[in-house]
Amino acid sequence: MLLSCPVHLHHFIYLFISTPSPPLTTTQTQTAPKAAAMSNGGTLPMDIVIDILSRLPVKSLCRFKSVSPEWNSLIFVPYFAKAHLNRAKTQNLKNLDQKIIIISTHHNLYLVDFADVNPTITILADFSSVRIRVLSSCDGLLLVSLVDNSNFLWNPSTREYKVLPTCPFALGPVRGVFRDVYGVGYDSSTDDYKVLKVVYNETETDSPTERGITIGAIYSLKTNAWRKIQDTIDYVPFWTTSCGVFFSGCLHFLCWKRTGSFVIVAFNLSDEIFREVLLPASFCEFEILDYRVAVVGGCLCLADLGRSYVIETTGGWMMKEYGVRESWTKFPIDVPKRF
Amino acid sequence: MASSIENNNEKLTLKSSDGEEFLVEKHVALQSTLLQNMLDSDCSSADVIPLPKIDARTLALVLGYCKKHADASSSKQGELNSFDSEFLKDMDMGALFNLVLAANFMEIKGLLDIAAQKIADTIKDKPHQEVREIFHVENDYTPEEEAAVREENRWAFEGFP
Repeated sequence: MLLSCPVHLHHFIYLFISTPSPPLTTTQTQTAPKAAAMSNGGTLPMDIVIDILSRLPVKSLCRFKSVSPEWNSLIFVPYFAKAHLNRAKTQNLKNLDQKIIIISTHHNLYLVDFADVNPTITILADFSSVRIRVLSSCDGLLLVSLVDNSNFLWNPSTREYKVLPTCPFALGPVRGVFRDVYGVGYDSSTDDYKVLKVVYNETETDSPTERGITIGAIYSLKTNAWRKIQDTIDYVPFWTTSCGVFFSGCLHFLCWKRTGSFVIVAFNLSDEIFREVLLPASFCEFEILDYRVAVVGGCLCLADLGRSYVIETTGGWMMKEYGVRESWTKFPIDVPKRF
Repeated sequence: MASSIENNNEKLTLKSSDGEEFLVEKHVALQSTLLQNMLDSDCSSADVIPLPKIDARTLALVLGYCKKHADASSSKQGELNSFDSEFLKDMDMGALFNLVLAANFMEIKGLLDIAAQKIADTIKDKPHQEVREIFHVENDYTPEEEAAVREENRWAFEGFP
């Protein structure tokens, strides 16, 4: 089973100054605080040096941390990371979706680079001893789950990661059907990356329309803490097919409404309100389990992946104008030959 | 008495750090935000404008860039792009540094952009020791610290000394 999620690997996020466990982090804590009192780095003023460095690929930057302690701390500071990310985003508009991370056999992460005429495949990481799932991604950050249900945020470009603290809220009774879905996204109003966890508990005896409850919690990277969403949520997320897809400031999940219909639910990370994105009017709801929410070509999409194993072309719906139900348009998807 | 027609053909004089004077047409000078602001604030065009940080060789290059972009503003972008890459093609690092400093001082955004990008493209695949020399950075690391930082980023050093 292949699960793919589009990630731009140019994106470069140094948010993990408190990277927890790799060895040799002692030098990081010594050098990082120096950044604010930066002096002239040589013949060029620091703002020009920053401008030049923000144009470099991550691999060069990680090498150039060895130039001097000053450069090392410079490459660590958040505003540098932001300049780098913004430049990568602008440049990637021209060659969108050229790099994709694919996880296979729950062990290896591969990077497929479609920028070449002959797409190249490289192994990004080998988790041969653990089983992992990539739950969601945003700006090149991956939210990864381990077999023991612990989660971490991982930046494969820099090989940095941060283990999330365990969610302290007891999210409902643990009996009957239990499912949890996650999404990671960026809140521009607070300049923070957030993880949303939505848990649904279905008890065996309740009536079909009333059964189960859905509750949620939000993790903030800035505070490194979980916070519970006060109200219960009126939607039931699909477990197997719904991981949060970040687009336009919102995390999107495929959900089942208590009225019996299906909908894409958009959770806005700034005002923290759930809103509905209606499915195409002529959508055949029987096929809903075949679909995934995705972002293609700068539009929110529903991609039919359920039949991609038996046919060569499949299809999808593209919401050309976000939030406008009438703008859903069908498009074909070519299924690539199996690796 | 200067008539309005003469004003349109107005020229101004720029003086480099090594004392050379350059007569520049006003519409060419307007490529520089610094000069534009000076002209807007009633700075007399009869005066010689000193640019104490920019030598004659660099200033000649800068004005060549400005003239091409001022004259070609209505022509095709592709032509300007090929001019830009040809303009920087065989420039050494010292000349690029001077150019980026001049563009920064004179606030010529387009020139700053292409010169900074050229420097980035040039150093991208260089070893860090060479980059250290290019940027005249003093290495304050102890050998132990340097080894530790390198070890943390070992993956980025594949194929490098």
